[in-house]
Amino acid sequence: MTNQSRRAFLKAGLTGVGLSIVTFDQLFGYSELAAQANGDDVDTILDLAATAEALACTHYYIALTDSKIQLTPAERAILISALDSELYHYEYLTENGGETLTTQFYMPFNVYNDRANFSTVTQQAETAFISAYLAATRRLAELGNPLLAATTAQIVVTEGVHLALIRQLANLLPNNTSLPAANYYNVSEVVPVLRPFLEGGDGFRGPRAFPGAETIRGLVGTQGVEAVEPFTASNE
Amino acid sequence: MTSANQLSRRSLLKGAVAGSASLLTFNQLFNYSQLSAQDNANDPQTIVNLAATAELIACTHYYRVLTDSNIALAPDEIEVLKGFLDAELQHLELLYLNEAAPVTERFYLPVDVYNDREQFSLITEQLETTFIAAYLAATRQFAQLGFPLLAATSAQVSAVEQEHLALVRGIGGRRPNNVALARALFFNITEAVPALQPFLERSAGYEGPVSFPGADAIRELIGDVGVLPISPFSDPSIANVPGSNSVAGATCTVTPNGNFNGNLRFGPGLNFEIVGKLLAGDTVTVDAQSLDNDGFVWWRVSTGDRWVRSDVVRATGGDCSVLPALKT
Repeated sequence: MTNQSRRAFLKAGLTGVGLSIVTFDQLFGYSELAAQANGDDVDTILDLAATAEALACTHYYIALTDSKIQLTPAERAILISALDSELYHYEYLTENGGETLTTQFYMPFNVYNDRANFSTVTQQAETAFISAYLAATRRLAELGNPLLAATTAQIVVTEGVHLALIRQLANLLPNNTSLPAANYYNVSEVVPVLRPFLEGGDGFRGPRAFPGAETIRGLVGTQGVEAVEPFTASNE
Repeated sequence: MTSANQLSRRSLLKGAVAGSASLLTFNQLFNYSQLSAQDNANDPQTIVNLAATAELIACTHYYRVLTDSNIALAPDEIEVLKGFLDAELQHLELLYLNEAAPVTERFYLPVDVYNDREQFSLITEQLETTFIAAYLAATRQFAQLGFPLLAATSAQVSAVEQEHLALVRGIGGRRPNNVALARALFFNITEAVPALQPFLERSAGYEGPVSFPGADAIRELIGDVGVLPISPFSDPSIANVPGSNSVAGATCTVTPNGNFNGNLRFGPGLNFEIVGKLLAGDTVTVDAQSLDNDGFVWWRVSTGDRWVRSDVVRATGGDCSVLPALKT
C-alpha cells in the first residue's frame, strides 16, 4: 500500500480522535465490557484492538525518539519495522470502523531508560496483544466472520515476531514457546492489562500523545515494512 | 525430560505413525485431484493431514541442518534452530492428537540447501511462508466450518511459524520483520499442495529421500534446549474466564505440559516467591483461579498457598474453567 493511499484512508479513520483524558470507565464502559466476557461484539473487538495499536505505536515511537537505550543500527531497524507494522494494523482497524479510546497514554516508569526494562515491559504488552488477537480470532470465527478471523490471525503472527525480537533485544532466546500463550477467551479480558496505560497509576507516568500517522511515517522513512493484503481483501 | 513423559509422547507417535506410506506418487498418496476439487470446503481431516505432513517436512529439515550440514552455525543460532525443531515436533504431536494422518515420512530436500547459509535461509523462508499461508487458510476454513477453537489454534501455530521465518531471515542476514502482516497466499489449505509436492516426489533440484528422524531422535538432539509447551486454544482448559462461570467448590486436576517442570509460587504472579516445583508427570488438584496483572491465569493448588500458571500445565480431570475466581 502506498503512503498516499494509507494517508487517504487514515483521514477518514482518524476523524474525531484526540479524546480528552477521562476515566477508562467513562471512555469505554468498563462494566459493560466485563459483562461481555462470554461474547464480545465486533465493535468492541475493533475498538480495543485499535486502542492497543495506538498504544503500541506510541510506545515504539518513544523508544526510537526519546530513549536512553543505546540501540544498534540493526535493533533500530527492527523497531522501525515494528512501528510501521503497528501503524499499518492501526490504519486497517480504523478503516474498518475501529476507534481508539484515547490518543494519550501512560507508560511505565523507567521503561525507556533501561534495555532490560524496555524488553520486559514490551514483552508483557505484546503477550497481552497476542492473546487478545487470538481471542478475537476465536470470537470472530464464532460470530461467523471467517475472513476477519483470518485477518486477526495475520496480525497475531506479526505481533508474535515482535515479541520474539524484543526478547532477543534482552539476550533471551527469542523463540521460547511451542505456541503463543492464549490467555484470554474474549478480547475484553485484556482490559485490566490495558487500563494503567490509559488511566495511569502507580509506576506509570504521562500522558504521552499518540504521535500521529504522518509523524510516524516521517520517522520510518524508507525503512518501512512491505504492506501485505489482509485476508478480508480476498475476492472469495 | 523424564523418561515417563518421553514414553507417553512416544506411544502417541507410535500409534499415529504406524504404517507409514511407501514412496508412491503424491497423487496416489494423497489423492491430489480430490483435494483440488474440494476448493472452498476442505474438510477438517484434510486440513490436519496436510498440516501434519508439513510439520514432518519441517522436523526433517531442521533436524538435518543441525546434524548433517556444512553451514557453520553460531551457538546461539543452534539454540534457535533447536527451538524451531522442538516447536515443530510439538505441533506435529498436537496434530496427531487430532487424528492427523500424514501422507509419508520420507522427503526430498533441495540440493545444496545444507551447504550454504544463504541458500538455507532462502529455502527455509519459502517453506515457512508456505506453512504460514497454509495455517492462515486453515484458520479461515475452521472459522467457516464452525470450529472457532481450532481456528484460534491454527492462528497460534501460524504465529510460531512466522517467528521461525523472521529468525531464519536473520540467519541469512536479512531484516527479520519485513512485512506488515503475514502473507495470506491461499484461501484453502489444499492450495499449498503444489508448493509441498517436490518435497514428497523426486524432482529436479531435490535429493533424497530422507526419513523423518523420529520423535525420540529429535528429543535426544534437543536435550535441554527445548521450548516451553503452551496449551493450544483447542484445549478446553484455556476457556477459563475467571469469574464468568465459576462454580463454588469446583476443582480439577492438572499436570505439567510435556516434559517440563512448572514453578509453584506463593501467589498468582511472577512477582511471588517460588515455593516449589510441579514435576513433569505429577498431577495435583487445583481449586481456585486468579488473573495476574500481565493477563495470565494462575491456578491454586488445593493443598495450600501454591500457585501454578495455567499455560504451563494442562487439565487432566474436571473443568478448570469453572474454578472459583479469587481476587488477590
